[in-house]
Amino acid sequence: MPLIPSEVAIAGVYFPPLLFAAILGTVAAIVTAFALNRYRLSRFFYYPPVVFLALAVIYTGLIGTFIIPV
Amino acid sequence: MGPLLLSRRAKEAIKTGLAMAIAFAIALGMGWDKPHWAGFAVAMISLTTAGQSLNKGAMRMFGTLVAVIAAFTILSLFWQDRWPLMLALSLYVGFCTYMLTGKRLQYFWFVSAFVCLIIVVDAGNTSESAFQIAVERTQETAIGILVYALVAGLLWPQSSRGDLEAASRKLLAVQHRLYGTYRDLMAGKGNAEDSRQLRMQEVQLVHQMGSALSAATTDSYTVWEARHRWRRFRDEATDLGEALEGWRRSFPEVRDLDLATLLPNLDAVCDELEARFAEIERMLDGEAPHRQTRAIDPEVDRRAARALSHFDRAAVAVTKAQLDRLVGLTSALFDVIRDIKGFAIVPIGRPHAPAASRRGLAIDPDRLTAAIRVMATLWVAFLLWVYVDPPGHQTFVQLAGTMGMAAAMMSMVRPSTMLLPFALGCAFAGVLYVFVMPQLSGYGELALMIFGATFAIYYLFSEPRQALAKMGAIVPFIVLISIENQQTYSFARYANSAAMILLGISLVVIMNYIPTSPRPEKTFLRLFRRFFRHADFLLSRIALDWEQTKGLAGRWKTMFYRNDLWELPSKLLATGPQIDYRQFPDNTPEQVQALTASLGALTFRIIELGDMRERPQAQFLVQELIADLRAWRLAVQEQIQIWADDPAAAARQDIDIQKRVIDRLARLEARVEETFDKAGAGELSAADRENFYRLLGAFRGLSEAGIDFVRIANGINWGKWREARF
Repeated sequence: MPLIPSEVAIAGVYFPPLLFAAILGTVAAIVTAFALNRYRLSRFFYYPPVVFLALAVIYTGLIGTFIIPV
Repeated sequence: MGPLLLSRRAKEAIKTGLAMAIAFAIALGMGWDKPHWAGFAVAMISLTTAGQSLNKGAMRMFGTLVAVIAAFTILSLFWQDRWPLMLALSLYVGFCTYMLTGKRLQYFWFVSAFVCLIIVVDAGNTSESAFQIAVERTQETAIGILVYALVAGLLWPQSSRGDLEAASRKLLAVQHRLYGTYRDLMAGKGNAEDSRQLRMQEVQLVHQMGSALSAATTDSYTVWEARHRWRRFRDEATDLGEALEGWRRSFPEVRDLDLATLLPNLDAVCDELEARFAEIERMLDGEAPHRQTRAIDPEVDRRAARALSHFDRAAVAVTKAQLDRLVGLTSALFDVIRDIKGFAIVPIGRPHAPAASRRGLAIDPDRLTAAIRVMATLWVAFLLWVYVDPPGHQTFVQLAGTMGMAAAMMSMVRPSTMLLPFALGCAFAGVLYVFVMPQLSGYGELALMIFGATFAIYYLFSEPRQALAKMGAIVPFIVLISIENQQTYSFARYANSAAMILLGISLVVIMNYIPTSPRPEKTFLRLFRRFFRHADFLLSRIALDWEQTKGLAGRWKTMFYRNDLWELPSKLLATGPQIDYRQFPDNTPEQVQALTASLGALTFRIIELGDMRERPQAQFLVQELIADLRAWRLAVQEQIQIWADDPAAAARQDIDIQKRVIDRLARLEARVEETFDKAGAGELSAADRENFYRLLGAFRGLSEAGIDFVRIANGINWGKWREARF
């Protein structure tokens, strides 16, 4: 079934789907960063803050493509 | 029924709530646009005493006036040209950010930057209203300050004079206890760790007393009349703290000497100092002194001193100089307090020369980085406004710039910690805006809501450590309830404004990672390396045959490195407690504090060595000993370069370096002995010998401080701190 983008209605107020995709993408990036810190895998990156930004963008893209169409 | 007893925090919260409701009423009654500007003025200047609030109010008012002039100048120069306009504005904001991260008038510079930003960006959008915006901003700020000043002055007025006297008493009591602890330490009792808590307390009290003095000068006529004496008292007490610290640092070198023989009147001098501290405390409690100060000079038994090695004679000379300084400063403090308290009118002499500290005007690299970061934030926000148009439009630029400056001003608070209080504040304001305000009718009911919400925020978050939570609640409240004469309600406007606030803070959080990671352990390592780089440079300048660069650039460079080195231990001290020690269980806060203290000792020794280098030295001694002193200096510099490149290297050298330093000092000692024997009669004056002994004392002090540092660095796990982390 094709995923069609649509606004998300909360109490009669319409929110853009990208907002939710971005929030979930950022949360997923935070969880990943926490796990990488926890298991000392972050030391293999040159500059982790940029990696965090990249992860947030990738997760937002994936969520926007497969879960909440944007 | 007894009288209604209210706590001080309840009274302060009532005053702020009342002033807020009145300020809004006047702004609405006068039909001014953006009445929340008057509310902001009240919210921002509300502090615990009238003097503190008036001082902050004056800074807000003058800052606004300066901002108006700056904004009009920028607008008139680049009216139709957005890129030069933005460039000029960002340069002005950058300059103000540099100034607001300093130690004086921070709030004035903060206001003069963000008000200029508001006027220029708002006027850039609707150019015909530039003058109207500036006038409204000024008059609404003035009304907010005036209303708060009247409320604070008429309702439960709280003077700062009591705070000033209490802070002064506490400061002198702590210095007295420090003196007692150090006297015991000199006699070989106790250890330096026992006094650490007192030293930290002393630093806080000096700061507290400075703030109380500035507030009391505004709200107490008695203090205003004696303000010059009070300021003198503050300066002398600050110098006394530094002198006590210098005295403590000289103890390791005289530890093994028989001071009772070398300084025959040491006990009498110490007893006199003890009596002076007791009398000063008595006068601060309001009682007349029981005795006057007695003139006394620490004396050195020259015959006993001649039997010592040259390094030990140098150590005795340094101890005598420290005692001389303590005697002078306590006498000056005694006189100035006697005068302030009205027990005698004493002509106050010239202030004592301060101990080694900052000199001249030099750029602080951390403040410069903060200024560049705020300018970059402003540019990114501006480009987002032009090309993406985020929620809030031009207000997004103003908010991101202002939040960036606030983050620079509170450099010890991570910007990401602002997100949660502001998000909760937005939710709180949303509840009032959506569910309460539409039910209200007339200003009476609205005023009750404004008073109630402001009271609740200022009552719940009254502690200084809750300042961020207070701002996170009051700023969204004032912005998001959008009070106007023709009140309208729009959920979209509320949602957009809330999104703007959170996006603006998110931008500040992101920009905080540029150019380097803000993690405290990374900041600590960065400052640590810089410390040794600067120490290396300054040591290269103390060579006895080094000709001071005559040019302005050379002098400025030396001054820059010296000032930065002086500031770095306190920056490291402030950064240390922020490290998350749960992530680095191998290192404890106590170890990091000890490491910082050892860097403080190194700084003191390097600055002292630089000062001794500036004293005239006998040509004969310079010619004879230059090669030995150079070898010593080069060895120290080589060591420092290793530490700058790799702090872990210090940990690997523990025993090795101690042995090398002791050998080198022994060789130097032998050479000095040989040279003094070689000197003909009358070739060296007493002053030549004293200057040279003090120079030698500084060399030895630096070597011992280095050994101490290596010992402490040995216990730190540097590898974990260096690992990259999110």
